Amino acid sequence: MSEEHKQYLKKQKVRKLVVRLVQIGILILFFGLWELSATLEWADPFITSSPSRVAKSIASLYASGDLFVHMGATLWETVVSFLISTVAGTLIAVALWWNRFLSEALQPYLIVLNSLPKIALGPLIIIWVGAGKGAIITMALMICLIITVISALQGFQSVERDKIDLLRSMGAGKGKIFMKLVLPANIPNILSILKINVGLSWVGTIMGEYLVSREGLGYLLVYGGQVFKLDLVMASTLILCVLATAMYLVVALLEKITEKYF
Amino acid sequence: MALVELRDISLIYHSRDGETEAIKDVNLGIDEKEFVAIVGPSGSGKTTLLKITAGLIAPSGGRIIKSDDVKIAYMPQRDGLFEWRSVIRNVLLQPEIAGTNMKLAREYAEELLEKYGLKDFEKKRPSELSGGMRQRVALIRTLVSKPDLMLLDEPFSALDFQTRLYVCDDVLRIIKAERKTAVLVTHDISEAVSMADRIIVLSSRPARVKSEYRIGLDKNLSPLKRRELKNFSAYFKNIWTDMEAPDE
Repeated sequence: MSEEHKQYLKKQKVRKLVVRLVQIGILILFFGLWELSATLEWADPFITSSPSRVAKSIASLYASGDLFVHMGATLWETVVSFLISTVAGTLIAVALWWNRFLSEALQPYLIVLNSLPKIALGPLIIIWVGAGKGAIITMALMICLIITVISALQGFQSVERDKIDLLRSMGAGKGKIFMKLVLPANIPNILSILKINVGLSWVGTIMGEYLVSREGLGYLLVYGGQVFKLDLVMASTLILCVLATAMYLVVALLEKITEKYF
Repeated sequence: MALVELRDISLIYHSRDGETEAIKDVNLGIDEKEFVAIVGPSGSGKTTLLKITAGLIAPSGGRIIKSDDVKIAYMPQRDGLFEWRSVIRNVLLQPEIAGTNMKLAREYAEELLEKYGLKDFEKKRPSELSGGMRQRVALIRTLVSKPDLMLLDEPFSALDFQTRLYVCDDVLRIIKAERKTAVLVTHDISEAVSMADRIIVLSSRPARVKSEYRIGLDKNLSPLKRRELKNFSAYFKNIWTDMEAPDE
């Protein structure tokens, strides 16, 4: 190894370390300033809360046994709506890919549904599905499903004509073209849809919990806001950050594993 | 008798803006073991004609005459390799689709890979191969189905000039060694002259057969060597003039 290359590697290593240190530094600085501003009463801790008060709030939630109930409720709703919207959305996209006529006929409806702010459906969902977990999952589904269908279909339809012709010349029908070409070619696309859906299903679930819920992080947020317990609001927000990031990382890991194959 | 014959083939595209006559009354016979090149201005419908021959597009008029046991394989523009499949699995695509005996197909595929220097790359992904090697894999994929007629659609268009010259040699050598009949579509006259036994010049749209050339260059030479022959430039010039001449 040349001296120059050694220098280069060392430089890269140092740079990586500095980036990591800065990242941690920002975190410490943020929480430190927050805590400090509360102790020195730069800002009213009643309004802004503080890291120590958030910690206390989480501890008391844990002590009362409520912490995991709320976390579990929200997580369950999110994962269920994430899975249903991804699977159902992809299946609908397959059907539309299969039948070009159907996809053309349904296109304006897809556009309308996609543009509609789904929260507007809230009252209808509550009346039709009932004020329970069903309504929350329906809300999250509304948000994720249409965009999944549209993105997946777009991916399916953008497979190179030449490759389809190649398979047709080998005597493949639509089913084989889909299984051997369209689906594998779209694995990266589907994974990036998964990543978007992770974020959207959290939006949908929290929005659903704002509308109707007796438990869950969205419920804690609304309740905390109403009774002016800002510690609780901040605590729920932090927990939400952690859970959403964790779920994103799981999908990112999945992407990394499949990347090797597709 | 010709292996495959196109008789009075015509094609009309219909769209909202009207109808376009893409191909008009093309008659063409391809003999066994012949290497035919089809040249024509871009947009003249060369590729469409090839796809009609492959049975991928139904012609508006005319028919393709061939006996039922004549197998046709189509090689698309660029190499069309599937990036998520290893070389061997790309090569075995046709038997997999057709559901033929995989064991026999695999033996034959391995024999071809071995013969053409790709044995060590069997398990590699297409992205790990050079442009020339990818082309060779695509050719072997076409050979695996043991076709009687190979249709090559501008197979070298994605390659840089130097690789192109080398791959031309390679492809022709393999096709001759396997004693195959082939039709090559290209817009590159020098490529056509250096490879083909016979050249069909198409007119601009609607495509008709404008003229036909029998190439009398030494068949034992590689395309690269044929380019150095004295007659080469004469053929080139004639065909060039022919293509440029206004259609009557």
